[in-house]
Amino acid sequence: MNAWLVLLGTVYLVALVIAAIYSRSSTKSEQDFLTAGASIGPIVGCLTIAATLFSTFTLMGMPDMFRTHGVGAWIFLGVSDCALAFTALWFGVNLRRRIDSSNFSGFSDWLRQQYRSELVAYVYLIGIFIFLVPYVAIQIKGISLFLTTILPGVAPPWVWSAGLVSIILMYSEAGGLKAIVIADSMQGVLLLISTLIIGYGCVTYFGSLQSMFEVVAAKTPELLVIPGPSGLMTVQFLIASFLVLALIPISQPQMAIRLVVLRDTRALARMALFLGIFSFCLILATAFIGFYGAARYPNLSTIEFIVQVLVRDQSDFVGAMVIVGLIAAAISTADSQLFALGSEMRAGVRFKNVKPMTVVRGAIVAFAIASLVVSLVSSEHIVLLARTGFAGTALLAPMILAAVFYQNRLNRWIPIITGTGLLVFLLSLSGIAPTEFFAIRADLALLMFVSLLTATSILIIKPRSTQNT
Amino acid sequence: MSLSGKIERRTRTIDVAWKLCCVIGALLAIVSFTPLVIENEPYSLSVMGIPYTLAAGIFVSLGFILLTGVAAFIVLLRERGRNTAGEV
Repeated sequence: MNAWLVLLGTVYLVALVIAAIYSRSSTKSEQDFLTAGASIGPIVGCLTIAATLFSTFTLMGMPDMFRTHGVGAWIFLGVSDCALAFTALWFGVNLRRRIDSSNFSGFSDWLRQQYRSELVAYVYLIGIFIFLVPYVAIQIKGISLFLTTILPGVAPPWVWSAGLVSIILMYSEAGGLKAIVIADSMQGVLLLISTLIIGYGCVTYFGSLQSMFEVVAAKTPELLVIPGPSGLMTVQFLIASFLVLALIPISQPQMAIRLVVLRDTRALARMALFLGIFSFCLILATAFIGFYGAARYPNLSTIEFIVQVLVRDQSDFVGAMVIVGLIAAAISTADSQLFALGSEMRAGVRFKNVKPMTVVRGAIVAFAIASLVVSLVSSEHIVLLARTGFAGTALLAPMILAAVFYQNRLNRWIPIITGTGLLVFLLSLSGIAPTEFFAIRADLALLMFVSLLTATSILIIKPRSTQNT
Repeated sequence: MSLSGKIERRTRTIDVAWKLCCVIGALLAIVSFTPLVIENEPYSLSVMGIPYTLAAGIFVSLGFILLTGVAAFIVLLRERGRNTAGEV
């Protein structure tokens, strides 16, 4: 397998270098660097959004979700991600009516203009920073641990981590969003193909789906009903997760920017359909992998199960493809988030006497180093922040939606409500605030409260008189 | 009916269809968390050998994909209509 790994890894790295060089040569302006020329078509758009969305968690987390929590994981992941495609279309159509991609510099700046308030930009920046940096760190850490496990003695974890971050910085700094989109497209194809191959192999091992589920039913029948053996997949958990995942195109800047930089609304429409199909096929394959693991390896630890199923049970070529695919998945998710953080920093914070592109590039480097450091020293709190990242950023959605749909009714209380919600959520995660409110889990309750209060403020607070625009 | 009248009527129909898609999306989401999809009784039901909750969940997901496809078609119609209106 090592020969295939070296070959495929080299091909992938060379492709990244070519992407960086091509992107650098075709980037004519600062706007091109930030928005990839706003000319992305539907297929590349689907692949870059999918690659940004489906991180290492896809192959290292989703199968284990099905293996340990059962069919509820489909409601959690499959239904939510297919709904996400519809949300992307709905939100994208409305967002593109409000934003002109030719002079769009970032959501923090756009929100500042809509609300005519500096506070909203800082609330947005703090929200995405607190939750995206740990998520990037977890990607890096997860891959470095995986590589250390399957390639023992080659390099310590910190070397793998530093290597990944270096690769990300190399082509992000060189080619901007265009290089990232190209890299994402490669990763998206690799991820889908390798997952489908393994998923198909898992089903054919048993001969049929029915045979596979009969084995699972004989060993752990609780996997085939809700809430599963551990009781995690309660209805409340599923509703909260559905909302959090379906709101990703709204609340996560690296996703929302891709809705803006698609070539036109027709490309957006086609992209959304492709994304739904892509998500369905990918998650279905991970479900098959998970239930295969439930039938054959119910007692292995997560990392042992992943290594066994993805590498040892596969041919050398497929195993190598999976390893390269996992590295690519970590890179594509991390680079998108780091680039989004850098762009938003430049858009949201005014630096005097500093060129905007210097701010973007410097911020990307700074956030990358911060993520690397966090990945090396990560504690359970960081892991918790990463896992709750989507829930945290979901609290930004009401503020963003208000700016898109009620631009004449915005008021200064909305960012205050959002900021308060973020603060209470952080206090809840740290154990200072309750983890439930009125018997509703904190993330769901806070999302409901923030949404309700935002809607109420829009209805009852008289907006400031508007100027002609 | 004049051409502009036809265009206006077409635009209204498309807008209604779009809103209908949004309503159906919300209903589909709600159905996902009802006993129509979620089975928590001791495992007994299956659809073609697949556990009921998984099969029902897969159908809901396919429903969302179909809905997205219809909504995408509506968006394409709307864009074409805008281009036609612009030419008029």
